[in-house]
Amino acid sequence: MRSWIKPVKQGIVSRCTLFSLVSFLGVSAQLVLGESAQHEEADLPITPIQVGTPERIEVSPSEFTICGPRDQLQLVITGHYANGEIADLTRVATLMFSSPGIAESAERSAIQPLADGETTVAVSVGGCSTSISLNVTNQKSKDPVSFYYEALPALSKAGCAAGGCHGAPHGKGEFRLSLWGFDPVSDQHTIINEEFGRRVNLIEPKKSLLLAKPRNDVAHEGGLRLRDSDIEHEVLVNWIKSGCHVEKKPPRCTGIRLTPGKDLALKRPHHTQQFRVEAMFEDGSCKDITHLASYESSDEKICRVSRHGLAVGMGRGEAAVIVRYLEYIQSTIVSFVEDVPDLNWETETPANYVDEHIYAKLEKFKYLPSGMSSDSEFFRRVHLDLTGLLPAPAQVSEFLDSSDADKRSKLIDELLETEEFTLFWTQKWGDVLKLSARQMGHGGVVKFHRWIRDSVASNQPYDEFAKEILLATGSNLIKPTSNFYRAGSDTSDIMESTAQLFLGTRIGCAKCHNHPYEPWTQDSYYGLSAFFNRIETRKTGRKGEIVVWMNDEGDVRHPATNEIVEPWVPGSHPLDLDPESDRRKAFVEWLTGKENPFFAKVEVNRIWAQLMGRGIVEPFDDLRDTNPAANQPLLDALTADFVEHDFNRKHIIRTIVNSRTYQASSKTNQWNKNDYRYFSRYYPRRLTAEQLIDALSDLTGIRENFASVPPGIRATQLPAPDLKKHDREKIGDIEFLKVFGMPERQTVCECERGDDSSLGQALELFNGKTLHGMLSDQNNRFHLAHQEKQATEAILTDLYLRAFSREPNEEEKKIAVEYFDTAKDKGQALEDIVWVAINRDEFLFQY
Amino acid sequence: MNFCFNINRLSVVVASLITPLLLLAEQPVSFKADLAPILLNQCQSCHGPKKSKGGYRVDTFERAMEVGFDELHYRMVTEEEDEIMPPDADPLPAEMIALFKRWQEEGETFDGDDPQASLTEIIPGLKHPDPPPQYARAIPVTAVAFANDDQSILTSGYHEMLVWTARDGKLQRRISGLPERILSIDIHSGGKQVAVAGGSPGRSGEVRVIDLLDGSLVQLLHKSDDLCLSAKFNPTGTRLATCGTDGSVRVFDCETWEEVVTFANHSNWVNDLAWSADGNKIVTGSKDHTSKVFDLTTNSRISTYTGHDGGVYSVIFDETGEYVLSACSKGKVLYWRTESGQAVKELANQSESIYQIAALDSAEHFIFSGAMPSVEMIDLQSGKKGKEFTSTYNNLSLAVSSDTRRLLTGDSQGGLRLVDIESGELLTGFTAAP
Repeated sequence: MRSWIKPVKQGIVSRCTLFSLVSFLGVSAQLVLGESAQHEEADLPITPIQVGTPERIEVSPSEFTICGPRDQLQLVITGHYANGEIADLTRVATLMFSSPGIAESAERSAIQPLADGETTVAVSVGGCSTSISLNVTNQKSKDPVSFYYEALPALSKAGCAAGGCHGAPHGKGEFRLSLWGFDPVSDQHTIINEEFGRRVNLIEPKKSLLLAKPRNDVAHEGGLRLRDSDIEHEVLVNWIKSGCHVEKKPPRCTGIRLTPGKDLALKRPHHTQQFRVEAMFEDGSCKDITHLASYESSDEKICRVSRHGLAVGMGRGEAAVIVRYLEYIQSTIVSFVEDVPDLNWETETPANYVDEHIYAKLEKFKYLPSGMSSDSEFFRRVHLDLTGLLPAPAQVSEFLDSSDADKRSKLIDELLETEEFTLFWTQKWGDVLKLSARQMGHGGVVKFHRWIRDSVASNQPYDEFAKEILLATGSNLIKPTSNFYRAGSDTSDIMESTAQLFLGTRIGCAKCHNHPYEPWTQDSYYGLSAFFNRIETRKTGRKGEIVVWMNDEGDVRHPATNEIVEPWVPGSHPLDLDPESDRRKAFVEWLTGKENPFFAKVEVNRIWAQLMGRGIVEPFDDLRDTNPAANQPLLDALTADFVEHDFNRKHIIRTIVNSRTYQASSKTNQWNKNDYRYFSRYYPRRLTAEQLIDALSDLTGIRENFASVPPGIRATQLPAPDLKKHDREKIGDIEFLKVFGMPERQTVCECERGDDSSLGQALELFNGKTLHGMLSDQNNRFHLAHQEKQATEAILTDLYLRAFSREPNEEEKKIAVEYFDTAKDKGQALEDIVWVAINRDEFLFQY
Repeated sequence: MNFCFNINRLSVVVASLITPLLLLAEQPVSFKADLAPILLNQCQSCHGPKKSKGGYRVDTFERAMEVGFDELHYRMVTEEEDEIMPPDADPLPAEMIALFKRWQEEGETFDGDDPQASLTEIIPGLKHPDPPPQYARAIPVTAVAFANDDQSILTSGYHEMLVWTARDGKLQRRISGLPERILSIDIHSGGKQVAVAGGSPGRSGEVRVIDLLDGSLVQLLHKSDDLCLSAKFNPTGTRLATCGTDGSVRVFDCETWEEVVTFANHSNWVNDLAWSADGNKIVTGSKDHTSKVFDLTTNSRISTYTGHDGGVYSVIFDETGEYVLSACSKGKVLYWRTESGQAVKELANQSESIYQIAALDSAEHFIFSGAMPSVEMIDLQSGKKGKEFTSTYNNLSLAVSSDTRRLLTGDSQGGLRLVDIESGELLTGFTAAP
């Protein structure tokens, strides 16, 4: 098990000079080094292509027109083998042209035009050959370099227009570009005209500041981003040479196409794949823009993509190859598999479809799942997950002693019906619905909390749950769910919260520009906003009361065009809106419909993440094509099951918790120690702040009491984090909770809950006031037992059952008893023994 | 052999320079000519007056050597990923590092005049390349001026200033040896000298005072690492005030060319400056959205005007010196009191940036131009719009003849227009490119 608090780095820096600080401050620039090192493909771990003897080869495209002197054609050549495997042979193929002088083969089997004409290109490799027909036209064209379709993409590809550089909202170093060239008009002015045209040099284009900076000829904080051998450099030089020509009305680009476009599996040693990207235009034309597109990988540990569009497998698993050109994004999922010698595939018998999907994926990537957890581990784990609390010693013993073959599933059924389950899972919803006194007042919190609790207790179908929240109208004290609207500051906030909660989409980016990683556009953003724009809230005379109602007018205007935006939902069907009725109804109807692709999916993924510590899609409320699921079939199956069972949340929890996957051990084996996303084992995680304080209370028998709630309410059952005013003088309870990451509930993002470790946590556990108070309390469980003269071993067994759901082993007993017997101050010795138990990973973690 | 470092072309020069240096090993390494350009180009963006990461600066010899040679050298050669400099790119070329090493072996001597002077000041005078015989295409006209009793027109060129006959737009002369770009041209009251401010964007800035008769260099001033934006003589011609992207305003004596005073009050580029008629005050306009007035009798700041919401591009005093007109990137012209910096009124508020503003006939009217294809006239007292002189492209530069009867504009496409103010008639129009 990993150590969870890293020792504070000691001040042993020998060269503690000025420069150490300099390099520390320069950390942001360090990131650039990585990209710089990756600039050339030579730095990627590419093994030579093994051609072998393919049965046939496939060449894409089968015919093509190169129209213009600067255009090119990237071929993609795939070998198919007798055993069903495929290999990308693009770079080892030989190209022969039937008519000379029309075109030539350049690097990476990209074809470059020479003169107008037609030719056949014969492609041969590994004893196979095939051909494509190529038509080259328009070679004498004097058309200048396109600002929209060549220069701007070049700036994006070089990284200039990235969000961390000049594409940031305020740019960098007083040079601001729009993010990924989203706003060409603004960029045109910035590049060509701003500050009297200082960025371009029309007489000596190469000397332009625009190029000299990224070449690092002139000191550039962003470092070296462009070499004069790069295609981006060539494009930009030629564009400036043309006098920075900007086309008046270029044909609109309608999209991009990626080849290979379908998800594909590559098996080592064939772990590379060349891609081709084409852009389509409204006039029906299509251009190869492989050399101008930008490439990214969703997971650099699994796959890296070179600037020439070559995906290279780094490890076993799947990653999305993401391609960007202007505002268009396309991605495809590539799986990288390889043979693992000596692996004898053997798994538990699947308990249900969860295991079937998980095992299928694991087998594909050769990550052998860990065996089953022990009864102790499972018992402790399932209590923490379903009730938030540690089980009592008597329950532990009873469970461990039981020989009932179905005891695990019976236990799950029991726990799902407990009051603790209801309250703990109510808290999880409280986190994302922003239940806090600051957001909705004390009265609002109490009412809304009660409503959620009843909803969880009655296992209200999830669609009903969402409907009641989103359609809330009236006083927040009478209709508790109207507090949802009270917690939203404005239309944008409400719409963004709704999208993140129920659609798993972080649409906020699209407020100002098209989403950089999703098909969401500004139009989508304002189209969705239009549903919520007529919501009004008003305070009443009653303290803490607000009323939510729907205005019958009020429209959203698009910030770019200032035109009224009609309500819009994803998908093509037009909405039939009754002008008389509440617009939200149409939205909620679409949202909770069984065919909605997002609604059920984000909820099952959320439940999965809450139980497994990591979403099938991670982060779990960030569903998008460019963020591939660790197991799409499983996500689909869970979604379908959820819909089929009328959005029954307990059914999904039960299904997951009963799976072998959930019940697997957290220990690694030699074949799954590198797996961090395919659920080959249970991933340990630290107890949440609330779980930890409750665990400490249960362990010591000293209850923490919380203000403004009835006595007996546990931390895992608190309606809100701020019912009590934070008191700096009285460090304890709330302070402890904050240190361990209790969220303040200011956003709908689950990410507000901190799961990291910090020095503050180490100090709290070392001798923090809360812990010290509990340990030194003479009325705590251990002091009392000692005063009652209980045997040391009995006290120890009780401690272990409470803390770890198991009895101490012989060695643990021996050490503790010896320590206790030799100590002068027996009470102190007992405190020490408990303190040690608390500071063990076995206590602090769920595993 | 000429060892002058041309920092404009460092990468090229390094390659060609290193080899002869190694061959001629007896030639000692010069700090000001060899090492200063490296520090300036490779280090100063993070360790300079604008950013001084880790509290370390290299912008003077003294500061650069504060850490000692060993540390400086260690940072260039270490394999420690956290300590190597520059942190964001490939290490410095071995040849550059070798220069440092050799300089140390030769005794670490400083061959400049002032160890506290900025690197740009100690790097030997940069010789500018010759302008191209013919321009591949016209370039924006960023500065214009009348000369020779309004008979000639001076315009900014590429590494040169161009002299045209006002009457017919014929190219009279080309005065070369000047920086890549010229942002300001100002004629001395004696008519014999001209002050030219400019430089190469992101690389260097300077002001040159040129003898108009033979084009020879009178004085090189205000060298910095980015453009100088304006240089103007006082009405009597005894002083020259300069300003630029380094945020400073400097005043020089026109006899001795000694720096009389420096004002470093602006936090961003100083785009423009103007003298009061009595020569006692200077007003400045800066990218930091402010405009400031300085008193040269006391060498102190009188006031700061903060009413602009964009960078201030152009400033002028009225004829009494009691009021200032300033124009900014947000399209506003404001009229305010010199003494207090209090606004009197807003004279223009348009969506396009205003780059230039100039007074007409005893300052009853003024004109302005900017990111719009016209020059507009406004009555100072009533604030009413007067004539409008339209053109095809945005005007970047503007000048009024000394008899205030003619108007000269230079545009973003290289076009030049000489217009009669009274009739609005176009007297001469041509593209200002050889």
